[in-house]
Amino acid sequence: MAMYRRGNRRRRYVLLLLVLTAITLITLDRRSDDEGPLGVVGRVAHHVVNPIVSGVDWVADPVGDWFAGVFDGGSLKDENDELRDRVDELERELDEVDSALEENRQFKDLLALPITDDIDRVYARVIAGAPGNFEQTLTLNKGSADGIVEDMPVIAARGLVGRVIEVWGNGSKVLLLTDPRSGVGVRLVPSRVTGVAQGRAGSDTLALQIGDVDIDIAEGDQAETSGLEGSTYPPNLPVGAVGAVAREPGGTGQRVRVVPFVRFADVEHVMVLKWAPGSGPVVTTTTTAPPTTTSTTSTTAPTGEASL
Amino acid sequence: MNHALRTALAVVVVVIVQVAVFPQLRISGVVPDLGLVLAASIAFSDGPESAAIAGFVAGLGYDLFLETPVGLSALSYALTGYAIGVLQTSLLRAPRWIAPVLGLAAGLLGGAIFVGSSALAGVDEVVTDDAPRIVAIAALYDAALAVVVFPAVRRALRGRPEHAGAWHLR
Repeated sequence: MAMYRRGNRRRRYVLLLLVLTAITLITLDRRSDDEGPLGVVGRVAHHVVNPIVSGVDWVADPVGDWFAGVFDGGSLKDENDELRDRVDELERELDEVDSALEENRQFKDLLALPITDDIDRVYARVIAGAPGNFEQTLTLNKGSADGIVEDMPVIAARGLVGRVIEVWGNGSKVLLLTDPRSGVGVRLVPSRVTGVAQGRAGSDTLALQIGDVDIDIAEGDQAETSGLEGSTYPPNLPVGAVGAVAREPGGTGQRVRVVPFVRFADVEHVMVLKWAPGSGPVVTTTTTAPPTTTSTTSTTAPTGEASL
Repeated sequence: MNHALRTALAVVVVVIVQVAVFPQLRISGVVPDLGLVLAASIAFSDGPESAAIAGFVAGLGYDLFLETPVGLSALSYALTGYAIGVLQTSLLRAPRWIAPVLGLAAGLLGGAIFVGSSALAGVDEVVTDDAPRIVAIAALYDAALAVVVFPAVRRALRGRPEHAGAWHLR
């Protein structure tokens, strides 16, 4: 009986120790920035695991597509099975060609985006989605070795994706526009009104508050980055289209929902812009070519960007 | 290989599989908490103390890859592992369906602790209207995985005296 009690007491001490350690870590992490010891450990962990993630992405991508189809597409009816098998068989023959064409199209679209020539760019591949359920991020296969630093904007063929929030040697993490921690300065066209479009938890749209009730905003209006002084993003990048507009109760303003142009689940290739918030283009000596070619990039931040 | 080393290896494998494989295998946009299932399975075979420690380490490893503060998953996994361990010591017998039931319980409890402690720590992006749906789907996913993970963990940790509660799963 005495031994049982001692065992019980010991178990409780162990649990108490673990809880206190966890609370200490949470407090330390909340108070320190990414340069703290926990940030360094995290970057090392990413660096080690990234090659595995990249390899798994290569192998598991078709499996993941199938998995998503089964669980998100609803149940398939029996009579469709035979037809689908036949279609799959035919599509398999075209897969390689389609894949190459799609990749080519994405790169062409990326090159067609309205980005001034003085901004260097790094082409990267998306190798993973968010590892957890309470964040909206993407992991890229390029990192500090290619000159990527935190806060650089990331775009896909259809428009803005988000910004880099974490970098390690061979990879980086991108915070999507739809994450609640994300905010982007936008200008609506044709009204030219500006505001900050904020990500919303559990939603695929951005929230935009407009203080003036007299400005005419309609569904379908385009939102692009405003590029106002100090902005995280360069101007005129496509962000999304207005999906809904509603007057605030009491006539205090207008509540706008912006639907991003980019379907984040489908993004495969992106471009990281060497742009420093508030300072403009980052000077580089070389620019990486689109994927399949790798080259070393050396990056020099302009004056006043020590924080990058 | 001794028991502690096997457990450590299981934790490392679980963290790598969680961050490398499961982002590709989402159900309704939700990934499971493999670390919680591991903690529950160790609670079942080794009791609350081992489960709390293994859960803490697995959660800490997972935390390194998340944007939420380091320690949140470690806290929820450790508490869940301990609670499941205490719960299973009161079981007189372990029917076949115990693995998915404990997996489901671990998913719900762990998810609730994660969201609750996020609220206390001021991590607003976790405390949303969507959180109950995410926790529920993740828990169901955990329950399904538990059917495979429980016997796998039992086999991986074989070679030591097993907990009395595990005899029905042999």
